[in-house]
Amino acid sequence: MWAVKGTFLGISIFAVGAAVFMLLSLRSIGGAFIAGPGRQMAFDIRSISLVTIYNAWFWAAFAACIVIGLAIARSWPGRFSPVFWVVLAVIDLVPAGMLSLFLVLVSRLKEAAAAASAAK
Amino acid sequence: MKAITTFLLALLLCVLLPGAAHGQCQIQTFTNYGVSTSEAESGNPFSGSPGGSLQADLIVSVVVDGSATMQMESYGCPDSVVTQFNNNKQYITHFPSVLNQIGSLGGWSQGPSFCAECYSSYQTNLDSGLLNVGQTVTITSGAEVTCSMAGLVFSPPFNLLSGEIAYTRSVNTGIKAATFVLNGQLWNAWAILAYCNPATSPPDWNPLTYNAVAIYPPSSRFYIDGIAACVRINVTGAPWFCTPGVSIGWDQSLNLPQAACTHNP
Repeated sequence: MWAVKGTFLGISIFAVGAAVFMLLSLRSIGGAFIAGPGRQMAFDIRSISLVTIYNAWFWAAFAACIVIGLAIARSWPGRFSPVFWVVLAVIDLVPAGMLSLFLVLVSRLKEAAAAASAAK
Repeated sequence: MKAITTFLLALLLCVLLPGAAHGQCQIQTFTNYGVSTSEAESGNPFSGSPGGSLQADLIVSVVVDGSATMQMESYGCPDSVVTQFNNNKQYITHFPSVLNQIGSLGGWSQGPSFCAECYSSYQTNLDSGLLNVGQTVTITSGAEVTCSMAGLVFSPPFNLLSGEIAYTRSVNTGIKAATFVLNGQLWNAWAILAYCNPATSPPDWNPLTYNAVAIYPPSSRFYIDGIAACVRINVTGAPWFCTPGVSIGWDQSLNLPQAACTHNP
């Protein structure tokens, strides 16, 4: 059971960390998650995959988060409060929502790329 | 259980009404509720070739959550009434209602009741159906919480927001506005200019930079089609606030024409 809890904890740490990293990265380059005129920007969808799923550090961070989650779950004295898991699940909704939106857009952009290739 | 609750509420009312008549016993409600509205797009924003027909769904979520504390004003109110209230206040219930409307679609919906001092969260999601990119819709959202004893305890002013899925075509000027390193990759922020036809200029979403990893030359990312989710206060002329757009770049050799961008001043 501790392995399941640890894995969930690790995935949560990674998901929240990735969301925070994205927001901080946006901020560091002068952007924001919601921006008005003069601060709006666009991101190349293919470049995003290069810094995430095709990046070794991305997967290293994922593995490290799983290990940290397992270590916490294994060494935690006593039982985790049920409230803790509920709060964690609610917090996870934010990165899960962002990931869902992103995946929908990626799938549509792939269709657009295919149409453009056909037009050539 | 329902009968017991009704009886206890009736008993509470009987106890409170004489006090209220004297203006000495009043229920004080401290609410910590909040309402938030969020928009997301889904569907098929690029259903054809570049510049083709663009459609997508707009999904609006409205959530009201929080909790409240209730107490009987003790000053000037008999201790027996205060004690009676404290012993029975767990039977008081709150009812959240949410207003989620896109144009004429949707409306008010009532959530489940919950004990007055418990944390609660009630959310509704509304799908606009397919919208053309550039089509403006009015989003009306709000929430209320009604107490079985104290009546309306939470009623913020409605958020009258407009939301849209904005489409903009831009061209890469080839001018590097900035370079930065993200996750070990060198990125270029290219300065871009909107490439919309005169009738749709300036676009609602007008990105000034296009961020891509440095391995891509600007000529291979000359035409840039992008979409973003935008929202604004529902006042004509108010600025649009948009998420960072996801974009795809096309080679300069395609010679794409100026596009009909999203333009709702």
